[in-house]
Amino acid sequence: MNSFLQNFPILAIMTLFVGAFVTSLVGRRNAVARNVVVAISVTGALAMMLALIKPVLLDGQIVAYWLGGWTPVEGWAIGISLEVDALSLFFGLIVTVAVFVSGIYSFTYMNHDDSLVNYYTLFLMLSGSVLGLVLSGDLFNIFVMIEIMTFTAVALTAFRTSYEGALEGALKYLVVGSLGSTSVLLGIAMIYSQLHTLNLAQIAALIPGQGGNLVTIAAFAFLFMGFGTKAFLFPFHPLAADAHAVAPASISLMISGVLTKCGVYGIIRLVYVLYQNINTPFVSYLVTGFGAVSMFVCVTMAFNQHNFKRLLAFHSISQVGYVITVVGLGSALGLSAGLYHAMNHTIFKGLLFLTAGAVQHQTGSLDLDSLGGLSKKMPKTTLLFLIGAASISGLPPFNGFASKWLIYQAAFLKGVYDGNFFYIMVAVVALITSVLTLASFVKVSQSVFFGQLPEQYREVREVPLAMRLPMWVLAVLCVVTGLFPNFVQTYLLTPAVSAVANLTAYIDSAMGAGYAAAHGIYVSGLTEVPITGVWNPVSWLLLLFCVTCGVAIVALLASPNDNSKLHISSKDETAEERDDKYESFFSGEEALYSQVGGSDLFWGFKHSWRKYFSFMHDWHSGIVNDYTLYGVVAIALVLLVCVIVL
Amino acid sequence: MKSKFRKKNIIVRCAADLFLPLACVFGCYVVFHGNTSPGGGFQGGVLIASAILLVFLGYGGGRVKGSFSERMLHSSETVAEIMYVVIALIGIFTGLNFAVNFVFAGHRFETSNLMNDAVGYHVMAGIACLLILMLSTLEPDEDEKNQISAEGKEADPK
Repeated sequence: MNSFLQNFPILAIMTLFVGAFVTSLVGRRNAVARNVVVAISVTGALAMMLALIKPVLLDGQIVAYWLGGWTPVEGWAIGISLEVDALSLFFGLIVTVAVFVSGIYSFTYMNHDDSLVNYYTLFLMLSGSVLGLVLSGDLFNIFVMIEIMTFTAVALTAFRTSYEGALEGALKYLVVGSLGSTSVLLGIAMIYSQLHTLNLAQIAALIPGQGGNLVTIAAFAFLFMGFGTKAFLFPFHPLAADAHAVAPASISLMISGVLTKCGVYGIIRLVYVLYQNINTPFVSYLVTGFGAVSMFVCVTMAFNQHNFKRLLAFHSISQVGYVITVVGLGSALGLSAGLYHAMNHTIFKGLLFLTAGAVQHQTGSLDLDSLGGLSKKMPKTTLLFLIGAASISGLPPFNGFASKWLIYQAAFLKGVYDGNFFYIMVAVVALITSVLTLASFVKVSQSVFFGQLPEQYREVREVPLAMRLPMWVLAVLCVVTGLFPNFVQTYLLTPAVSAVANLTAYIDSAMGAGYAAAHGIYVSGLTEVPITGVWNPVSWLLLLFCVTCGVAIVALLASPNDNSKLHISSKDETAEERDDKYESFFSGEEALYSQVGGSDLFWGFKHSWRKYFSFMHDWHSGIVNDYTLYGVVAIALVLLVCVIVL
Repeated sequence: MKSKFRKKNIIVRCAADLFLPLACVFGCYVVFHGNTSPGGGFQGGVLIASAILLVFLGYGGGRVKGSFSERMLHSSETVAEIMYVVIALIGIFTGLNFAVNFVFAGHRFETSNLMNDAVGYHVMAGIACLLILMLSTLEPDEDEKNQISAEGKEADPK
């Protein structure tokens, strides 16, 4: 590898951090200079990550970089390292793309706010810490980055202090997020006390020799729950919703698309690389169970929401639940499905949050019950929203379908091969969740973009191009990654999965050749499974195109020109033409305002599930003490079960 | 002139006068020797910043506001952060690793000296900024209120 290319991981992290410092220095008075600095840092970080694709993803090399040149001495990693293998780079790419899109979108989206220099400083520090987390080769630096990430995210959540609940949401995030950070710190302390090292590669080499050491098992439980908190898994989900609803949309993108991925990355590193215990049935049940519960509970919670971004927040956790579910399967197919869905989730959920932000920017409201009919005023945003909604609901040919198909397949195959009913049930739950996702996005599109336009939104206009451009980037990525799953599989997923499987290379590149073999670590049982399904996404796109053309032709034939357009009962008619006298015999009295509100559309479903929903209603009390208690109880239970079973 | 300075207890003011240079010098000592002795940039920076508290105790909040510029301290903090990263980056651009000791290894003076100084500068500015923010939320005490009203009366006849 080109020796200067080795410096790119640290340079990418430092570009973002230095960008944050320079922003706070020059951006106080000069807005243009501030935006230029932000644009340069996010673009620079993205470019450096892209430059690493060739050596790391395609050639399969691993960058082991020792800060200050402190290489291991006599088999002990005394220095701080960055270790970038294909898995780290995969997540690094997700992070930098999301940061780039969010930064560009902020320039226009945030123009109603003041003290923006603080916003951009915190934003760049958040981006830098997340990138540092996924590229780090050192457990303690992962903790440091988690802390920076949590505190900047909390500050950014509360950035719009004028919003009702902004400070409250931030406080909940702070308290419960600190619970997760503390859990990670405890786990790290336990590992350090037993193994006397913090380097990921060395820990991976030493842990199997520990056998049934209770301290390392307890450390596993703490680390798992700590990363689970960062991914907002099941008992921690309420704070994500509270935080998302009040955060600016560009920060919601970061929290949902990037911060939760850090939790996912941590769990993958933990169960596949550090402890290598994913093939233990108990660990597989634990991870899959947490994922499946989060996936299902959060999608049903999304039905009750009246706030656009709260609804998206619950879907976000639901989709992360999918990822965790298949990561827990322990098969190569499952892991590659999980990584694919993690990537797709960042893309489509980012797109949906940005459209929500566009609606909020133009109308000032996120209330599903009061919005409506915006497709007439914001047609381009509506198109973008529909692409995102189709992707998240798993409609072909968009990317959500490709990854969800892999998820069903992975879960079902695991169930069939092992003869285990649990995994088959997981596949069924995943399928039901997908249907419910589609249903709740029908509700959103009905109550925000279609239906009747309320009076107060008559003057709403389309968002400017500077805001639509980042959304188009994500929309194009939605379509491209959905249309060419084989390319994604070959160039992104297979390298990442084989990097996880090839544990010896990860350890040896950091600790020196032969270190893994000396500690009895060999290539783990994961092998490549080249399955992408037997469907052809391009033909689905053609079908979609033909159907759209057909609908368009029918629509055009039905109304040859505007003058002869048939009005049955339309408000466009002037008062003279209209004779209300016969209306009641033709179609009944027309209501003055007939918007179907967000709460009405699935009332039947909610009614039949009322016992479950009333239980969930009491569960989500909004009191930070309760949420902390759920978290502590969950951590304690997992700790207890891990210590007993493992 | 005398009435202007009467407001604080003479013992407190004398102690503040005495310890202010000590705090600064000792803080600087801890920063500069951070790489070879206990302490370091962080502790030394906090010691230097404690000078602000001494000024507050001796002369009151009004004097703190008059003597220190919060904006300047804030900029200094940022400059120190950039300084630290630049020192670390020199390693890369001399063809070595990030944060490497690019000064001749084995000498008493090392890169870590420079980094310590940057940290000390950063912490000094940061803590000073925080102290000023915290002190500015306090209510002015009795003496200061009297002084303010006295100044107002003096200014009125003109």
